[in-house]
Amino acid sequence: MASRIARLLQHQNRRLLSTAAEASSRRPPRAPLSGAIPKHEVAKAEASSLKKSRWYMIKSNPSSPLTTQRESHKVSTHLVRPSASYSTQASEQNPKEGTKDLKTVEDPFDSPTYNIPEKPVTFAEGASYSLVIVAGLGIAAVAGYAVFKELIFEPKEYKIFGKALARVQNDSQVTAKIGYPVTGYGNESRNRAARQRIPNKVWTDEDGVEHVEVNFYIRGPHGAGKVYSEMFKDNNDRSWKFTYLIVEIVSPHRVQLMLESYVPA
Amino acid sequence: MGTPETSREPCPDRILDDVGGAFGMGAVGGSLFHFLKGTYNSPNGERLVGGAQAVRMNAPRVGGSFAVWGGLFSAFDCTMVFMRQKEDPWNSIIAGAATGGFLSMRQGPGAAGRSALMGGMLLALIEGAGLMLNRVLATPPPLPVDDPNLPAVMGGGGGIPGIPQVPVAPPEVASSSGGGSGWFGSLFGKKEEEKKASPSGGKSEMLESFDTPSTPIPTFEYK
Repeated sequence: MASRIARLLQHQNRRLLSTAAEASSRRPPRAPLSGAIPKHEVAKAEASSLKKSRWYMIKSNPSSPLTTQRESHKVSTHLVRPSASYSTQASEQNPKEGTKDLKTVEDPFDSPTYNIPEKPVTFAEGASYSLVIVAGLGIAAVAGYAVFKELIFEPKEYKIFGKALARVQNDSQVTAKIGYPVTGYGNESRNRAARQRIPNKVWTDEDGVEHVEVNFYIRGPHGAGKVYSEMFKDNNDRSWKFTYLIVEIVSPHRVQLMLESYVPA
Repeated sequence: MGTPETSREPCPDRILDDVGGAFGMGAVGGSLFHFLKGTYNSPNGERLVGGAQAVRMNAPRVGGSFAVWGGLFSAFDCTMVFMRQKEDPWNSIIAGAATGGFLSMRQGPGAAGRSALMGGMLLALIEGAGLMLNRVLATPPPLPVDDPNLPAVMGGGGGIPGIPQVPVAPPEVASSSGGGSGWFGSLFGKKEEEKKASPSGGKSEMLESFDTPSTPIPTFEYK
């Protein structure tokens, strides 16, 4: 407050000094020295200009009505400035009240959050969730097992079919009769699934040896035929061996070839 | 002589058959799906009109998508048959993966790889399910098969002619089931094939019975 009032006074002093400087520049320097001369010049100044009259009125007595009006104006300016400073102080105090309001507003938000209770899940509910999860995992495992068992671990009939077809394709007697690229398929049909299905029979004999018998068709550029093959799993060296591999070529000429026939060592 | 031989080779012509079949499945399935969807999304009083409009707008698009997929799948499958010179489930799985990857190729190698993996897994599940169904359906036939097997092993020469007779029946059943979904002309051709196949089967049976006496002799020596 004091510092601000001091600043305001400094501003007023500066204005007075500037007006005094202007007056001195216009008037000769002798006038302020004598006391009688200013009284004479006062009348002239009133007639000449407002600025001069202002300068002299400041120093002269406030008895004249003109001076009283101007003094009242000055007083009003004085009153306005302190009011501005008061408004400034009020504006400074306002944010403090605002912060208090924010603090009070924040509290109601926090308390309900702290007061929300947490209900524990019942044992039965948790158990049912666990059962659902286990059931889902079980279904996924069954599907995965089915896929792997049927495809990744190749079925026996397709394994035997592959071995027999490779043997037939590499045999010179067959290629000489029906041509070189020999194709093998399971059925004479246009249906893809039916053609891919190999007729097969799997059984175990009295000695515990596993036998797989497959029949499939072969076709080449110059003819076609049918293959009858049986393989058994030798328990001694754990490998598949041919019991017999018979190729019956039906076109161009009907010929029957026996490429493999098992003879025990 | 060449005509019946080439008629038996399905691969180049099968692509067109599969395009038509896939379009049919897509159009019919899409019609049903979008009719129900349109009916559900229409206000009361306009449900049939909404369903019909949805079908007219969407069924051809769905049919077209299915036709594209089916045609590509069949083309890749025939390519695999030609390359491998054998028909087994792996052809379908690889063709499914190739189709998925090919259709997503313009989205980048990452997306194409993922689509190929998804296509391969889908076809693997389909093939696996088919094999399991075939095995389950094939369970009853082995029961009568086991009966002649046991006396065959026990009796020796007497039951041997019974063994080759059993595998002849499954291909006939398969061919008849396959013929059900064929063309009119192809149906006639398949009937002829069946007629031809049956006498050849009989002849093969006779030939097998003639040759099988040589098979048990080595096993006898082995015992």
